[in-house]
Amino acid sequence: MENAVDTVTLKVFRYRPETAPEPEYETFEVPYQEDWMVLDALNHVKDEMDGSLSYRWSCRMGVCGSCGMTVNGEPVLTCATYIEDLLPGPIRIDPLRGFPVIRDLVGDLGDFMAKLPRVKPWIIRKEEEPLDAGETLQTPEEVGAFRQYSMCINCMLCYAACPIYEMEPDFIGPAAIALAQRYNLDSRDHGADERMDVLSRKHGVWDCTFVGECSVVCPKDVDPAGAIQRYKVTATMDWFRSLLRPGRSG
Amino acid sequence: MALKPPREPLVWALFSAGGMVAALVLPALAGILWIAAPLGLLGPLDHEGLRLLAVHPVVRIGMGLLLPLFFFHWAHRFRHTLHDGLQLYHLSRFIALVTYGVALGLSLGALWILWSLG
Amino acid sequence: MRSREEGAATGPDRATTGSDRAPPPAEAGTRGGEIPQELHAMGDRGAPPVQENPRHTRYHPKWHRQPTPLTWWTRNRRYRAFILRELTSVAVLYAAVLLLIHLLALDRGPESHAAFQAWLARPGVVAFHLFVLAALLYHTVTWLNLAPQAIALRIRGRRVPSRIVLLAHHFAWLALSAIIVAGLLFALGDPGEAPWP
Repeated sequence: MENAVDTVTLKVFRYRPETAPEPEYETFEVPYQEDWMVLDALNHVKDEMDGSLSYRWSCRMGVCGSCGMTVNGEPVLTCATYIEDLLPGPIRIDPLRGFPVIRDLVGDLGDFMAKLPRVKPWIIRKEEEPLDAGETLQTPEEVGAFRQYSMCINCMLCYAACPIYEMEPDFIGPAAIALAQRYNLDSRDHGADERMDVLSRKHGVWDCTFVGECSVVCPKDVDPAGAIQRYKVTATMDWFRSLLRPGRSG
Repeated sequence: MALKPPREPLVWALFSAGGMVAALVLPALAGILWIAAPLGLLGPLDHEGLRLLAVHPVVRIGMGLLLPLFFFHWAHRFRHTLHDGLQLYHLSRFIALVTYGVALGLSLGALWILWSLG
Repeated sequence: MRSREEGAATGPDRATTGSDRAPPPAEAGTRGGEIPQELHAMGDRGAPPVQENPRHTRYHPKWHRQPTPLTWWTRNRRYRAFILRELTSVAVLYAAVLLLIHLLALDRGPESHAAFQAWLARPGVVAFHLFVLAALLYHTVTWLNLAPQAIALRIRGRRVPSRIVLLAHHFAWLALSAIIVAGLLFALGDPGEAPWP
């Protein structure tokens, strides 16, 4: 670049347990270009200034869901956040809230990975059909019933945005419930009863107080908050129905 | 402990129903009864007309339905406000018992008062 | 017992250290408690045995956890709006109790009702009730605005647009308010005969 470049200050959360027991902020003065994202600035730091900086990223186009971080206090995908929108800076970059930090900006997402299979996010059939029975067709309306919830990329921004998850880590959480709904609302699925055990038990949907922040930060408009509230309606009607039918406990 | 907080679907249903009716009727009631009327914006008050309205069976039955819903709406929401807002996770069960207990007591009191009116 | 690192570093040793491996020690004071491991993303059937490094507890002692501040709800504008919305429940409780007191005052006769009205007309009480009214209105607006997110209405398989659900709720609110205001004005402002049976 021939002309003088603009620079922006990054205040980056550093946690290096092998050298320092407590995290600290490190400041980098980064030259940036007009169309740079926050992730580009981090890559610049890693390539040109300090190769020891640790963070996750992959696709740079909002699909893989790995580059979620807290930028100026908001959980965002750093590959989809323009530096221009955060000027004049400094831009503070922290790891996602609610997850234990392994190093720098890398959190441990193992808790979510353990919770996800508990809601059985796969199609459950009462009985498997033979292959030669052909495809199970769905109308556009039937696909429309769950399509929104299938857009989740597991980026964990909704967990980072959720104060309940942060304080009550046993809460099964927004994305897991939205994914459960993705299958509950699928016309090919018969597993709603199996999922209900996890969802309407302690630390299922009832921990949620509809802060709504998960839906605000979701980069894919999944609306997990809406999914949870709708599930509360379903679970409540189910419970009242079970009162009317003796023999089945709620 | 013998006492157990009520089932979540039940209290959530009461909370939701209470929140909905509170949203729909309370601003109008509060605005007229406790702001416009005392300020004299509606002219002189007719005590007997208002009393007949208040003791009318429809109003009494309506109040008997609405007031408990309002109380349980408060109980459920305030329980979570205390519990999450102040991070009192160790008092979880105690808070639930107290808030729903207060709502139950107030509801029974309200029903008794409505029954003995007139 | 030999060091786990050593076992992991040398290939052939892995199988032998793997067989006598003790289960990872449960770490005291960590979040989460235990999560049942019987399920696997592959389904209930045929989950492959998980090769775990025994040195890795669920939360490594060196991992950093940031405590949540007690004032987490002041973090941003939306959290503040949320906590205010939740606190309107206190205004609902107050309004319900005051309705009951109002009924009692009416029932006890003209003097008691007049005294209650005099209390209602005191400037401080009016100011407080304006504040309560603001909270009740805030409850109404936030509640009705969130309704479309919680209600998925379908007509003939198609989702009713949330804007329609929203408008229907606000319309219902205005219509009910109009009925309540009209009914109360009728009862309050017309001395003499009560027009209902």
